[in-house]
Amino acid sequence: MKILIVEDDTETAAFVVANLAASGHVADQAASGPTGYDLATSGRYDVIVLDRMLPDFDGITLVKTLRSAGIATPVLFLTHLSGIDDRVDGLEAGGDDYLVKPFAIEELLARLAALARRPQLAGESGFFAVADLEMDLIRRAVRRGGEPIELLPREFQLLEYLMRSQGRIVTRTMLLEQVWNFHFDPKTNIVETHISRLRAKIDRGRPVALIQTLRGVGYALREP
Amino acid sequence: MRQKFVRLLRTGSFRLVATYIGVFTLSVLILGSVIYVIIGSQIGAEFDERVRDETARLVSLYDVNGMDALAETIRVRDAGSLDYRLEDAGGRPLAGTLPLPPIGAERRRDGWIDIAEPEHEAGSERERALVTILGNGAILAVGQDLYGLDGARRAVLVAFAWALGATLVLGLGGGIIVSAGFLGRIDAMSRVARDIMAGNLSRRIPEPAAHGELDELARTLNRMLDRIETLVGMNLHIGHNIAHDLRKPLARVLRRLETGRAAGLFAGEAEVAVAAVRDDVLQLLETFNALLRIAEIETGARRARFKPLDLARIADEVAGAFQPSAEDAGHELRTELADPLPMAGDAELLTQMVANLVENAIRHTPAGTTILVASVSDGRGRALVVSDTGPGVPEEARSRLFERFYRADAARTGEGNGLGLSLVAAIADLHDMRIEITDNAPGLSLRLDIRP
Repeated sequence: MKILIVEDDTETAAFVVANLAASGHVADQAASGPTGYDLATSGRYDVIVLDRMLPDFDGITLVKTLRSAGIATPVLFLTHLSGIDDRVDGLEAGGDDYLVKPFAIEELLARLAALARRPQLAGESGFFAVADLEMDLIRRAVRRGGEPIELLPREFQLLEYLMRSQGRIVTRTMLLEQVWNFHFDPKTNIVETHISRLRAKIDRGRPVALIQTLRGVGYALREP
Repeated sequence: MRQKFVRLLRTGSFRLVATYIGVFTLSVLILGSVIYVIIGSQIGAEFDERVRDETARLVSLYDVNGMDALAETIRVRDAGSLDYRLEDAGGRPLAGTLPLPPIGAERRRDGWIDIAEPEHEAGSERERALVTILGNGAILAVGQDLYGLDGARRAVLVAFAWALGATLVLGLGGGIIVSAGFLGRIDAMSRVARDIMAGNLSRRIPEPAAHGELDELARTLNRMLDRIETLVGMNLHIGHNIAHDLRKPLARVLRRLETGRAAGLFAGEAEVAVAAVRDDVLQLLETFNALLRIAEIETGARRARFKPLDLARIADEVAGAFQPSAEDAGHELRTELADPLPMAGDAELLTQMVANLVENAIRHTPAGTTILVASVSDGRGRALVVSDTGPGVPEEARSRLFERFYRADAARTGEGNGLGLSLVAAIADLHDMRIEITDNAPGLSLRLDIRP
């Protein structure tokens, strides 16, 4: 992934750049709005990480300007501003994701990966597959090794999201947001319980476990 | 339209005007009655005086010149404005056309008599005559058609009826106009106030240059709104600054710990200590986030983005999310959400509110408890109820449950930050919902009433 970070806080920027490099990505840093804008318009990046509160530039304005200039690169807002309106404003302005500081670097990496790649398309038939697990969106049917599996509506939704993100890591927060539309962190680990219910139906008794837990990071649907 | 009219009638200003009109009308009525009576008696007295004088003249004429002269005079004068009648002692008419009623068994006597409905002239229906018995037993009657008197009386009546009518119409009409104007201004103020409560803090009440009480009120309210907007602005500003200034160092602490751990700087006990510090910092950040969120909600600005939704559907989704976790903890989480709960609100916040309530119930009740999330529609209106069959909360503690950092169970200090229910209260308040905590016998029941 080629990532652009527009962040005036040098510590955060250095931290992120270092971690991205360690994961095998390439990252450029801009410490001010104008520089960031110039780099962004070059269009070379897979994803842009943008601080909302830059000293000389409002992040919202920057995104709006980018979008009207035709730059469609996905933008992730990284900011201290945690208000609901702040997030809504950011996304409405053209941002694609919103992460509040402080953040876990794994969270940032997982979200960047999700943004940079095209979402897994189901193709014309609405069909997904990972190993011998098949999912038919149109007929609302799931099979593994040819055997049909009965899923509850929420389990189906959960599996669909995992299917669309197959191969990539999805964090607990991403699942809460995308599958349950929860924009807060419940103390109860509802994600874990739902995943284990799903596992019981998908993976139990099978030789290969497709739903993987990555401790401290999240989950992934892929062949081990 | 009809409702507007009814409102108008209820306004203080209209009532005032109506009272004045009532008093004035009453005065006109009393005045009219007095004048009516006075005029009546005055004219009546004059009429009677005239008849009495004429009678006296005729009697002295009789005394001097005798019956024939009297009869002759009567025949001549009868054509005039007064009416006469001369009868002999037996009642046979001698002269005059006054319509004296025929003698019945009664004998004529001296005195006034009122005669109704004479047929001789178009005019009034009444005649008033003075009967005098002469020395020879003859009967002399002098009288007058009361047409004039009645006419005068009717004139007074008509005049005052018009006056009354005009007073009522003009008064009430004027009252309605004045009240409508007054009401219009009050309505304008209410509209602005409602707009502001809906989150539009920059609205103001229109301020004309005049100096009436309403104008002064408008000015004062606007000053107050300026102050409120400044304070809220300061609050938001502080919130933003706190967000930045407090989070930054905390984030730095976390990063240092993270970097240290990645570099393998901590080993053995140090690693355990570092992990504990990290947890503490995260806990701090969480508490801080919750406080900021509560403050953000309390400004009321979210109201401007309310949308119509069904709270029962939101509760259903939340309950579904927590179902497996509740089961794993040995609880039974049930829903009875057939009744819809339509309202205007913020879906995100309401979701969090219900989640907090359900989590609270799960966390503070032992295994085996039944937790119920239900929508009700009863005499009090529509409401969401979250109840459990757990140990409940003693009555004294119930009112304090929503205070910041309050914990009913003093023994628990590790889990949570004591702000979960404060957030519920803030969100409920933002949506104008009333919270009621009652004993579920056993257990706790929380009822959130939706304002219609």
